[in-house]
Amino acid sequence: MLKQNLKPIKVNRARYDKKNRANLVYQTPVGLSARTVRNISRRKQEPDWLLAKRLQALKIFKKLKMPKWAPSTAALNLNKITYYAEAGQKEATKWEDVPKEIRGTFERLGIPEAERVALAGAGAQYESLMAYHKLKEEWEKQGVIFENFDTAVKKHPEMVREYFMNKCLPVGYHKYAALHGAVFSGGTFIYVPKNVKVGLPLQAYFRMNAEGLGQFEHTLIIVDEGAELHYIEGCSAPRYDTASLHVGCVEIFVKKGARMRYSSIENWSKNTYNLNTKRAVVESDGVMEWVSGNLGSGLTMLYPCSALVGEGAKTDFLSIAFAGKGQNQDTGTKSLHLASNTSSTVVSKSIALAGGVTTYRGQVKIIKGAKKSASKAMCDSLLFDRTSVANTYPSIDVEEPHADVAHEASVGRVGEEQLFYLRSRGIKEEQATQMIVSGFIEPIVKKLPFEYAIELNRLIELEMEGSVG
Amino acid sequence: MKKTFIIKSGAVEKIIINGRDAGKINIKVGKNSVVDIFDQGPTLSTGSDPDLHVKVIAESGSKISWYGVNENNTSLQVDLLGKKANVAVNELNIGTVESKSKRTVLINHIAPETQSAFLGFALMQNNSEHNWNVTTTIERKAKKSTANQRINNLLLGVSGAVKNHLALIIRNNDVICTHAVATGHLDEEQIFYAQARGLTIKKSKALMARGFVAPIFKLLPNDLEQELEEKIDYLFHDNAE
Repeated sequence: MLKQNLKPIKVNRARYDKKNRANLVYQTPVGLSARTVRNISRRKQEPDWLLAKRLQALKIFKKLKMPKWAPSTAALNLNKITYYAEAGQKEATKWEDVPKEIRGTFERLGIPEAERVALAGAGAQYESLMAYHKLKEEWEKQGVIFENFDTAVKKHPEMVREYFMNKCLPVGYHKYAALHGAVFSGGTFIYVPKNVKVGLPLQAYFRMNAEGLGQFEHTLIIVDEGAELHYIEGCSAPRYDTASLHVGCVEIFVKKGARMRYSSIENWSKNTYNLNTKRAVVESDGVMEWVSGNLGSGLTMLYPCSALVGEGAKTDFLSIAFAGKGQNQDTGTKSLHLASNTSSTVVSKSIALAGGVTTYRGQVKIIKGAKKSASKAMCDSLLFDRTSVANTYPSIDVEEPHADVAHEASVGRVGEEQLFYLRSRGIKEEQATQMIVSGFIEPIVKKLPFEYAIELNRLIELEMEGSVG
Repeated sequence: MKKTFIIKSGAVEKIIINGRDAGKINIKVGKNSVVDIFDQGPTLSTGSDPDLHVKVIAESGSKISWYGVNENNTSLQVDLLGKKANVAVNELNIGTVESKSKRTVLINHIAPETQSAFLGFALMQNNSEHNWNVTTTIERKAKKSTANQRINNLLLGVSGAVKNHLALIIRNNDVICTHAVATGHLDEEQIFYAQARGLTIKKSKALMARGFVAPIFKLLPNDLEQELEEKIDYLFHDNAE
């Protein structure tokens, strides 16, 4: 009976890998220059202040160097990347109005179905521009704003100017944040008014189709006092032999007493460099939760950060990183305790097999004056074979004597006793291993909506196929 | 200054490093030998602050215990070169008012079935600062090895800072590795309890601090224990707070 229930779920990888013909109607010349930046701004008919910000970011990008601790990006040739491309679509609010080929892509990925069943609204970006954006009427009536970022620049200029790459994630934050500031395109803008609790998640999905493309979407979320929001991001790209680049930025403002959960499942193809930056500013009694699943890409560098600026602010990080053959998942978290009674928790799980490398870098900083603050971090790694590598680098700076900090980490392999037990019940080794892995990542998966939890489990099963035995 | 100690196979030895001697010290530990190394450093009255670099090479079956109780900026490297080599690094830092100290420890598991345990305790008085830099690497050939890192910090005053930078770099899957860091402060309820039993506030705090470091005290020889207890009491002398 048990065996029957445990039939392996067959996942069709083709739905992520299928390429459309690259019917681009406009693209900037390959490589990065001030002209590229001006062209992007002109295509979008942006205000002068935004062009000035882009050019300032480009200057900073050229000056800044990669940090010494960072994994090598030597194989990434920034002069061979196309920084902006349009596939000719206009943003639609009905799926029927999205061009057939693009719609087909998102249907294969299950976005329209997820929107009908489980979401308050959805957005879908294809290449450098959004193809679809729709918020259900119920939330629109309550004043929730869910727009593509380019539209928000035009419709809500004051709010965008106040918050965009300014208070939370300044353009000089690091080298790739500066690159993003210069060439960003598309993304999402969300504003949830005071005390509005958005009961269903909002989702945006980002798809890169063309070869050698860079995607630089910007997500800006403001959750006003006492409001609540769950936002989900997903991303994928078909596989090519040449490098693609994803440098997204996420800025989140959690106001007094507000609650925000940001979930993301990143499933970029293995030729993609995923150099993302995500940061939140959390005011007093606000709660910020990060739930991340990093499965794809050749190299990921992603360290979501919560700056706890208000008394009683709280943040939780839950993350899974999976590195298979040829993958380097360099992920982590940053908790900055800048006010008293703030708290942070981290649960990080990583799995490495077939020569994959996982690295956890966790930073906790408790400044003087952040009295009675507390931080707890737990990170576990599972190594499948001798060719894989797991690294953990926690950095914990405590300047306030009245604070409590704890960090724990462990590294191990799939237990032989556990495997033996399952195999003695008639379960094949591959399935038994998958079950153990599912148990290992369960604390994180259960925080995701049901459909996404299944998706994450299936993706991990897919990556593990043929890796055992 | 450069010193080299060579411990013969099967020997049982005790090495005392005087922290007032800055420089490099190399220690080669032969097969199946047992060595206790004491990095005792200067006493409070000398207060000198030299840099000391110690490198230990452990051959198969050797067992090394390191006891670092000084206030220097010591760096220690242990290479577990032989099968079943074992090292326990025990560090206690007692940071007096406005002191600054740093420990850099690198443990390399090169051979199979090697074991390492790092245990670090820091007691930090007002305006003192301590840096832990602890790295453990497990190389591909070091299968069935075990590595643990544990750091406990207690901040005693109204100011002070502790920085913990740890790294575990693991290149073999058949190993068990853990690390843990905890930083906290004196529990006011416990101090109140001790005061209610007639102790002064300073004696109550000293009692709590001694309780905190008890796990590492148990590992130390008796003669060191008394000296360190005096140091802890000194943290709470009249001018300390």
